[in-house]
Amino acid sequence: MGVNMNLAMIRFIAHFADGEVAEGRPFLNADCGVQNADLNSTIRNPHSAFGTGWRDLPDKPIARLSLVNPHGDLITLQGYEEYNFMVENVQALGVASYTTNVYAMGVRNGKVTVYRVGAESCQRQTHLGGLAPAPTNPVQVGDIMVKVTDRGKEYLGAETTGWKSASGGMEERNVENPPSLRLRSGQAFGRGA
Amino acid sequence: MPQPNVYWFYNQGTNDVAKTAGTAEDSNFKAITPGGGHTLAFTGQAAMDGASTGTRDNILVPDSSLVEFDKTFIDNGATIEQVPLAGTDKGKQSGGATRYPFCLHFDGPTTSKVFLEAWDDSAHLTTTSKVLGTGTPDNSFLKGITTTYAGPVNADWVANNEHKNLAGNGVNNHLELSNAALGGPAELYFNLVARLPAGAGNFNANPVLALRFAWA
Repeated sequence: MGVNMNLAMIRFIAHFADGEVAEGRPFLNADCGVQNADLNSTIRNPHSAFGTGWRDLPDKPIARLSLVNPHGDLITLQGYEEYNFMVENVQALGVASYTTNVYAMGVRNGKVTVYRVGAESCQRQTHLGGLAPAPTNPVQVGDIMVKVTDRGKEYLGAETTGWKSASGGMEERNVENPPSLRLRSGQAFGRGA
Repeated sequence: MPQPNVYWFYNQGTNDVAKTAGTAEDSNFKAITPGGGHTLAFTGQAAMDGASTGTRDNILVPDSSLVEFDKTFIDNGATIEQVPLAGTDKGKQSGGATRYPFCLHFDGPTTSKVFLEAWDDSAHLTTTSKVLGTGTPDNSFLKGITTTYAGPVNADWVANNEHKNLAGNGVNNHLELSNAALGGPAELYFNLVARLPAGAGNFNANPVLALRFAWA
């Protein structure tokens, strides 16, 4: 299927209805560097300057969405009406940002199934060095939690953008200052498009 | 859509105006630099703008009700720099229905709203300290209001119940600094205050103020 099963990194794999497979850019690997797939190098900086690739996916129907974690676990979401993938960051006052979790989500009949994969522990250690207390978070890199919630409340009780439909198109509702380059010309978007 | 960079600023003057858009400081807003040793400090009225780092003053625990910390500073590791527009009209600086004491600049889009949270420490997991309500978020001493779209209605926006008591990431105890995901570069604003309740007693806590957001 053309999937590189190098499982040291967190990334998504989108399986399109036409059989094509697109792999997201690995942005966080097990030793906490940031993998720049384009340059085939690891950058010792938690900031990802290249994005995950989710926004760059071809605008066509997704059949299923997989998420690979650093332990090699493969989560696959299938049979949903829409899919989403995103990365969560936290930035404290006076401290640089670090990644906490990655999310793969699917929506069906108004309910969102949220897979949250912990991604923070060693990155925070790298990032803050000796200034941070020893991590006490029971969620280690790659641990997975699942919840089902109402559409529009999937992330901290609020909605998210970037949903891609099983029938094609990326939803861009309720975005402030929408960027001018969002969709390929001629493509419909929105749920059910 | 790369990960957005976030830039923190505080208004070091009494001009309640928006920051010039972008990543740079302007005549009103100064940067809070990551890794620069900056901390936010609420303290008593004898602390003065430009005093040496670590300068603090006492505040008396009230016999009843709440008392607002007199002044708000950013301690940059060398000096304490006052944020005179922070807080309500119950402090001893220029707070009130002030919209622009603190600013965040995002240089790119997000896929979620932007949230401001308070935690016990940099683990961002617990809110058990006294200052954050001893496990009851609604009892947090730290109160905030989003002013991205409008300033507070009332000069005492805490008494007018326009605020959130900040502790953790529950929907009622964090600030939504934006109404929606950011579509591109944006400036977000908020105001903060700390109020000491009767019977607070002594405490020693260094809570952490943190942003949480998602991107793709």
